[in-house]
Amino acid sequence: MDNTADVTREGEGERLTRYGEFLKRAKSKLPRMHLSLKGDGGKHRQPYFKIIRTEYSREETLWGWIFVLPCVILGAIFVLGPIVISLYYAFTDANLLRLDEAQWVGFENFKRVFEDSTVGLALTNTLTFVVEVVPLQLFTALGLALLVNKITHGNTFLRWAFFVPVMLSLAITSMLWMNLLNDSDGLINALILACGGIPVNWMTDEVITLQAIIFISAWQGAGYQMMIFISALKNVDHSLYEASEIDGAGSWNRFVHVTLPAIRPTFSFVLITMLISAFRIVTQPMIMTQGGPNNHTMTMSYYIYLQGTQYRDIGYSSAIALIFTFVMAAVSLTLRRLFEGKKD
Amino acid sequence: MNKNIRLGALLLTSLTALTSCGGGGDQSNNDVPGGTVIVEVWVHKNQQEPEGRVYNSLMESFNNSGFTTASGANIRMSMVFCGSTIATRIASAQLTGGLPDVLAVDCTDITSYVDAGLLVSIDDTVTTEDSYVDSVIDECTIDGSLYALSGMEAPGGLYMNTGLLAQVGYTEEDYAEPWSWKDVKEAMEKLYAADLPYQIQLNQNFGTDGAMYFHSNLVYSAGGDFGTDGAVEAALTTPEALAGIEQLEMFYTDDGLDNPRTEAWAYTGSNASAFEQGEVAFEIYGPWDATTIEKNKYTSAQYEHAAYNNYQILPYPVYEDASGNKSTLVANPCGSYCFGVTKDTENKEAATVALEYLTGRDATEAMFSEIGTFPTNKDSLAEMEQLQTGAFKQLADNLSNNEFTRPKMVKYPQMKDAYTRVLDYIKNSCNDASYDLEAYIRDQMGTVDSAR
Amino acid sequence: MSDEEMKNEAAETVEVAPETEQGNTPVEATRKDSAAPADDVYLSLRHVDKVYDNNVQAVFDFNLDVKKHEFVVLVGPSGCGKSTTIRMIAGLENISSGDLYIGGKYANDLSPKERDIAMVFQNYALYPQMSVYDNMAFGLKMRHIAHDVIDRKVREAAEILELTKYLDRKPRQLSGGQKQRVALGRAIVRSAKIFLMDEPLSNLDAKLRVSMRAEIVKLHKTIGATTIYVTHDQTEAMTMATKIVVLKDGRVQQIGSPEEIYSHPANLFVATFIGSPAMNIWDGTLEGRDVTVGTGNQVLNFQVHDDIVSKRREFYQNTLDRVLFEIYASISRADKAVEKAAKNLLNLTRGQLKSNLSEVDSHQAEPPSEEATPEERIEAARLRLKAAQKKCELALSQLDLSNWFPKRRELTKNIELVYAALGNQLQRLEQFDAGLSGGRCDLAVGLRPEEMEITTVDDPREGFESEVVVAELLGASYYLHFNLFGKEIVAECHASTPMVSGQRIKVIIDSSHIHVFDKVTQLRID
Repeated sequence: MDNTADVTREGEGERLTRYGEFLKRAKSKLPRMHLSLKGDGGKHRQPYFKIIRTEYSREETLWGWIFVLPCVILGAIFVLGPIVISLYYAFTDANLLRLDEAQWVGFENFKRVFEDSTVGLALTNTLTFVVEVVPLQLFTALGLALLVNKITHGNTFLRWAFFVPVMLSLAITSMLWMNLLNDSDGLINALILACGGIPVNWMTDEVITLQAIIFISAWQGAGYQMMIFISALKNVDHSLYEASEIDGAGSWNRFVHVTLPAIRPTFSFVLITMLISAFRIVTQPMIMTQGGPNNHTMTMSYYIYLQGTQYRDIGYSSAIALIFTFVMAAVSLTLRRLFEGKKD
Repeated sequence: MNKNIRLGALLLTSLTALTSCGGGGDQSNNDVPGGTVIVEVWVHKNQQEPEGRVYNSLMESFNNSGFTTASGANIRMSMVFCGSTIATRIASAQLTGGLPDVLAVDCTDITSYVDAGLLVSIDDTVTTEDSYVDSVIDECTIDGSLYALSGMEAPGGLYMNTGLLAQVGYTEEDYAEPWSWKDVKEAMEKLYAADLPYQIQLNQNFGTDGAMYFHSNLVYSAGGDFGTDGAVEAALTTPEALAGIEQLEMFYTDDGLDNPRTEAWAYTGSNASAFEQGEVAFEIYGPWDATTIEKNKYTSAQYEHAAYNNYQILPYPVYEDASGNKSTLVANPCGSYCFGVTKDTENKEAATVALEYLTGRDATEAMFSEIGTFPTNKDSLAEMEQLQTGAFKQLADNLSNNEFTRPKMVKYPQMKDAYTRVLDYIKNSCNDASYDLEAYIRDQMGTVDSAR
Repeated sequence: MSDEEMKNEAAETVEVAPETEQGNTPVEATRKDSAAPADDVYLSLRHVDKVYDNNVQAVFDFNLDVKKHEFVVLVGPSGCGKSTTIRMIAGLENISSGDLYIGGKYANDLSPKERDIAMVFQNYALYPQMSVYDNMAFGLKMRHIAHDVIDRKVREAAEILELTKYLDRKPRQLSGGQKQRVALGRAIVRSAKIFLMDEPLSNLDAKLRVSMRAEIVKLHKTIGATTIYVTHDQTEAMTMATKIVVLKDGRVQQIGSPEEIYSHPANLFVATFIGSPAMNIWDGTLEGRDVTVGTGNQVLNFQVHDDIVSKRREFYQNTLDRVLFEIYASISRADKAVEKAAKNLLNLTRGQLKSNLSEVDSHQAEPPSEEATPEERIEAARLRLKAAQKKCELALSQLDLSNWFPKRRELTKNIELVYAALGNQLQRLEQFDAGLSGGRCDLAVGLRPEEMEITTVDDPREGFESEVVVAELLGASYYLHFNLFGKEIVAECHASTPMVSGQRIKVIIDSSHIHVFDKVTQLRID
């Protein structure tokens, strides 16, 4: 459709012609440089160039680049650059204090990755964490959102209360929980003792520590996803609920057939973002257990950090990072395919 | 044409939005009479922190003291407060040659910096090395050459609540000689039987290097050592080393406890002031509790077994073998931040002058009064008033004639993590049926050896 | 019910919208009788009210009996409570008071599922992620019907609605009309006893609406389910219904068959709402048997039936209650406003006002007893109205005198409003009195556009001449706009002869087609 209205259309009444004249006069007063999107409506064509059969307006392209160039350059320097450099280092024996003396070692780092038992442990821990935290946090968030949506009294207070853990920094909640879960004088164990049970070694048992960290992470993050879900739930069409009520669906069926499909896009968005951030977990192990009882809460991100900045073995940590990226990409893409496969 | 020029100008403008001011002041090295030599110092604290403030005032007093080089040029100090970013700054600066003249470095990092060539030897320019305590010279000497100096020390020891011990029959004479670990355990058992606080706070997960800082002496006192780069496993699996490390087991075992589920010999709670408040009877710690107990003396009355006026600091417990022979190798936790001269310095002489000032007598005494770290100047130790009595004297004694027990290795970070895991293994699993300390040490230290 | 009781009840009435010119008179005066419905009645609503949390009443005393296989249409302008009513029948809203019987069973507390109803929504409410087949099968699946039975029913319904080749499509791949048919199919498949339709055709374009109307009627003939249909379009109501319920502001205006409603509208609202174009209304006066419409040189005179004259007094007597109810409601509102003003005045002036008010009150006559004649009751009401007006005047003058104090403007405005309302009521009372006593009373006179004959000026018959202002050609007929009896009206005439604006015409009126309504109560007089 033409944006320019100076083409007057005969016979459409006086008003239109007058408006067209006004527009023509106004346009002539504007500076010559104008951002017409599609040209002058056939009067004369703007200069263009072709790449593989698609036409691009020269002017448009130039303007586009002007706006986008700073961002592209920054992205190239601070995002792409490090990735490429890291890729290079993965094949060298770079040391943090001697980066200029990096020697090419080929696949030695990668061989070492596969032989390193800690990497295996870290990967297992990370995958366990992801597999357990994502459903836990997701369904907690969904459940809380459904609950908060239904309750009208004290609604604002509940939303705030559930969101508070998100506002606290991860470091602070880690320390908070470390105190609560302390073996000898933590509150949780004291309560268990008071109820006559046996105190649990929350932070020193190999298996339990990871579960505790999973629980704490879910507890902290659920509030944030809950907010997203609440707004998604509010956008569900009410008449669908009524129709399903009349069709005879109970609350569970209503949830499965009306609510879930309606929040499906939000659900998959939340799932993917939660997944990616779950893979990157590093703060909780670092502060609470430093890798945990005998490396049983060591995660891949933490191990990469450890090898790179603490042990100064940049080459090795780059190699681990590269392999971990592949694992993450594989998992994420598979999940996306799974989800999108259902949509048709 | 007009339009194109205008668009081109716009493009350039948008690009200039990216320009950021590059850093890097240039250092003037005008070593002639009347000229100025600027010594750049990087410290590891922020200016607002207490330690940062001390460095700042040291810099100002240095600049007002009129130090000159041999050729008569004025020496000025300029300081960059890097805070926690110092590690990354060093890493990037060493590529571009932008390292400062003087650099703050942790005592355990000196080896790897020297190995990477970042620090240069100051043997030829240092003049006051005799005024420093042995442990400082020890930790800063690599392969016979001195690379750094330190103005603060953190001597540690065994804190014991003598008030509690008196109640089970210990007297002043019992504190004359260093105790062994078995002595400690014996005292704890007596206290346990008498229903008094009996636990020991081992602090093995203290800070980033608690295990090595506090408990590296386990190995030394028993006659072992940590070996060298690549040979750690062999060193730590010798009978002496094993015997030394095994001593820790007596504090994590369930034997002797009525209620292993809720009681433990070693304190695992979260109260940082446990010793001060009399909740535990023993503590392995640095000098900081002495200052804290002194500071909180007025509120100590509310605790039944408060440590104020009721404690001693003995040296780190020594090894006692099966037949009751106590080792004579006494060493206490020590070692703190040092300053070294980097390879990028333009005037090593001026840099060393600045370094010696930053770690000299004035500096070290200023540190003590501001942040509580111990002076490294022998004269200060002998003459400062506060260090002549009580707990401070005991710490000062622990400091004099002390040996730096932490190994000097390039792979120190890996080693300290592995050692932490070993001690944690004892803590968590010594009661398990599958407990095998030697195999675990072999495993962990083997990883350290095979790391690059 | 005596006037005193009526006054009390008026005072307790739930506050609704402020008084409008046309009276909100309730259809029935009695409130509390609820017997179980008769046997052949399938759906029955008795005295159903709906009041929302903020004390807004949406439905007043709704009574309706629906027999099996009837097609009942609830029609009315926006906000008249028709959607609320149908949702109450469906079970999607709670019934505040009153009884609902479905199939003879008391159904107020049944859930929608248990009521065995099917509903078609205005926005179709199809499950977007399910195919057409699944959408239609959903209700049956929820009732755990066997697979093959579901399949058979769905395909049957799809055939009736010509949806067979769309069974695998998703709703977003369908057009509006197809989606509506799926919604209908979903309802049919369940073989529910009652179909509820909430403005199902409102989202479709005009042409589609016409064809879907016919389809729904055909469907109703085929399946024969009892249907309640809600719409704001009177054309749909007229063409589809077997029984029409006209609603306005939450109250039922008239219930009847389309013919009844068209030819004998019960009040002015129904008369002007039903029929397109709307009925033309003039102001007229009735004296004895003579009705005069219009002034000046064009006047319509005709005579009403003797029946009407004799029934007139009866009519006004019957409607007296309603009018008085409103008057007393207005009086009590005025009293409240005056009291509120008195409360807020400062002490000094308050005392003065209160004493003045109580003086007025003390002069009030006794309320008339139960056996009083209508005239006496009217007189009593008149006096009370005047007293209330006096009180308002006193309050206003007092407010005027007092210096600035909080809320002064608000209170003054309130009292002015109720004062004006009282004035209106007084006027209406006078008119009513005139009507009752047989004197001159005001009327609204109506004539449908289709019921006028338009001829040329040369026509020898007696008629009224006028000049065409606008002639709208629809194809086979004209809508002519012209002035008659002092008002511009619309008439419909056949397009056999062309009409242009400015053309002179003659209008022939048969007085038997004229509808006469009382101005005060808006009710039909016949």
